[in-house]
Amino acid sequence: MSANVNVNLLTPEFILAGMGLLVLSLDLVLPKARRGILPWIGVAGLIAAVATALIYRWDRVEELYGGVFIADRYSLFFFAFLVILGGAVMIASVDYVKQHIKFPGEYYGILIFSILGMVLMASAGELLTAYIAMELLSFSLYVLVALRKYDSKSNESAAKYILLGAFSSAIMLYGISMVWGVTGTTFYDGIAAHLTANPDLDIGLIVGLSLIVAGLGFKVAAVPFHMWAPDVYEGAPTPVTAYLAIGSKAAAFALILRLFSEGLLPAIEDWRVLIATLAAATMVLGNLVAIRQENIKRMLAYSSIGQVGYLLLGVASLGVVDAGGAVVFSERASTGIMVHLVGYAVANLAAFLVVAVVYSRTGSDQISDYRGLAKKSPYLSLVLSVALFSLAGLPFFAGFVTKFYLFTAGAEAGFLWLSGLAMVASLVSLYYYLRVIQRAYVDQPSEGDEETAVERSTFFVPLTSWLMLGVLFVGMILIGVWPTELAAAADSASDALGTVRDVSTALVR
Amino acid sequence: MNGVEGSSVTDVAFWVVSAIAIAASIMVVTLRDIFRAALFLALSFLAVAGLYILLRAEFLAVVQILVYVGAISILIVFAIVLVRDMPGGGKDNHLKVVAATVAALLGALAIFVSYNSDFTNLDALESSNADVAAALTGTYDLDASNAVGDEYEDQIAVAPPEGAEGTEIGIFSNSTGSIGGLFIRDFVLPFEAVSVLLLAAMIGALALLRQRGEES
Repeated sequence: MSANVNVNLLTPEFILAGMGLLVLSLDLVLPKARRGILPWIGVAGLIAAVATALIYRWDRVEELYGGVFIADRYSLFFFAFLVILGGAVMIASVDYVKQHIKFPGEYYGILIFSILGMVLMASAGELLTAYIAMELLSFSLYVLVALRKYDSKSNESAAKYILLGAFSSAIMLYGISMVWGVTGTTFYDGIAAHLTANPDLDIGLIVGLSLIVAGLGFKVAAVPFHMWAPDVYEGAPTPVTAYLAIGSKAAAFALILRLFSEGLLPAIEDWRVLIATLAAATMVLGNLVAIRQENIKRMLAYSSIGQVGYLLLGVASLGVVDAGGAVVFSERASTGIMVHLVGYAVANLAAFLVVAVVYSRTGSDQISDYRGLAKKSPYLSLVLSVALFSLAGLPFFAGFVTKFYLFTAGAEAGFLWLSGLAMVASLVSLYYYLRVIQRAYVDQPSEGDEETAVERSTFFVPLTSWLMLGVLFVGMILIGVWPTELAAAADSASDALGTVRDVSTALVR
Repeated sequence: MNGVEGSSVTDVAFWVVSAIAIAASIMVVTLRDIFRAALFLALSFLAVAGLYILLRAEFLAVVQILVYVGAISILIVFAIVLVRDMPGGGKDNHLKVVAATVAALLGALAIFVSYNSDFTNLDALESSNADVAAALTGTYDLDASNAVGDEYEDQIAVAPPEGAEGTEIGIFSNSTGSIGGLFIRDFVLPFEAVSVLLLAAMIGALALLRQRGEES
């Protein structure tokens, strides 16, 4: 069967890998003054990859290598989403890299490799492939976090990230080995078949799945595996922090969504309460601790932990047990997760980009230093406000619609209490988001106050950042008032997850 | 591994190798002299390689020795030599009891799980265990006419038939060939992904190790 593998289908992945190599090696031959062109070559390559993927895979459902790699609408949705996201992060880093990084080729090359890892995570139909794709992403992120090696904060956060990342990988691998030991397969559909045939879970399978959940929990920073996130987010270069908060989480949820809906769905009764508990703890703790943060990057870190809680609510609602006792896949939940991921990504990237621009002018990430931002740069504070409102889920912005999809799905699956909790948590989040906005717009220096870092600095927004912020701003509003297209795309991706594919003859089952 | 006829030698070997692995690991975490701890770590890796052989995963055993004993342990020893004023062991801290309790609980869980769980793939292993026993006592002979031996011989003498690599017997009887087959067939994609991963890691390591003077 391997002889007739349609390698053409992998062209987009080949383009990504090739672009990574090209950008890396161009760095060697280009004269220094011309290296500014590297990110744009990379972005062009990413656009080419997305275009090829759309052309080659538009109406294809195919399993390559007996299910190791799955090309379907779901993979396609995440391919487009994750590559565009990576490209946006790349553009968002242009100004930062110019200022702080001497060898841009390494930064952009590794960034492209990490994008390759992300898209493989979404299309892997098998645990080991998914794991390796995740490591490709993680290793690239370790390097990106550590790239400012003379900054002691960056060093500290990189060390923490690498150690905990390796630790969580080990936990996950141990879990995979146990699942393999019991089921004899690492393929999602094989696991699903085993779970259907043996409804009473073996103790080894229970422990194995719990370990996999713990390992993935570390990667998405769900409570109680979240301790590393705020420190790492604070220490990493801001564009990389944005990438950590958005890209790695979106990719991890792409993996989780496929694994849980194609592999573990038959056993949903056994894990939905566990996931729901994690979701509740994550959204409560993330949002409560965010209130106390004085550093805006830490605040956004905790707020993104809270967002993970909402997404886990969607995962817990992935299946509904009907009257006959059969498990029915809930497309609404998976659509909700995908739509919320997109909305969250756009809003969070905008917020982090504003933080990056402010930092490059003032050298401060303290929320107290944001006083006077509205006067210095109305544009920045407008985008920041919209981004934070969207994260909080106010109407007319992306977050409202996406949260609506997600929480409805949760309520439908019987998690009314959790959806209610999520709404309360969103209200809490509004409080600390508003604090930043109040700083930027309302607060006036009183008698005897020192000038804040923002008030001292001269402000101008570099052109690339300006344009990028504009695009994100439009995106947030667009998703907020006209979400139908996005929801339709996510819907058809969910369809792909719900459909049982024709399982071709695989060598290893 | 109990209950299989003729596997007593395997049993003895298993217990001896396991005891060495456990004892060496305990030495690694208790010894104050970091250099000796590193050497015991190498011994522990070696014992794990022995376990792989007992599981009939020869390829893994060789890789374990090459990578862990040969490369990682040596790397650690080099690091100890180069960093001269290495402090002699960690300081005591008040979390010792907590850590020991947690470790003991996790260990108990792991043992409980391995005893109570139905690891289907191990059945295949047990049925072919007799061969290992024979091989270890030196009585194993490729020309032997017993049924199990013949079956095994067939599998190592000729390439596994098309489509048979994935069967449970195939995994345990000719692991090197099966792994090779899997690498270039079904798992060629993750295999290639690993090479990209290694490239990214290598570039990252070089970027992080660059001297300050070369930064300009």
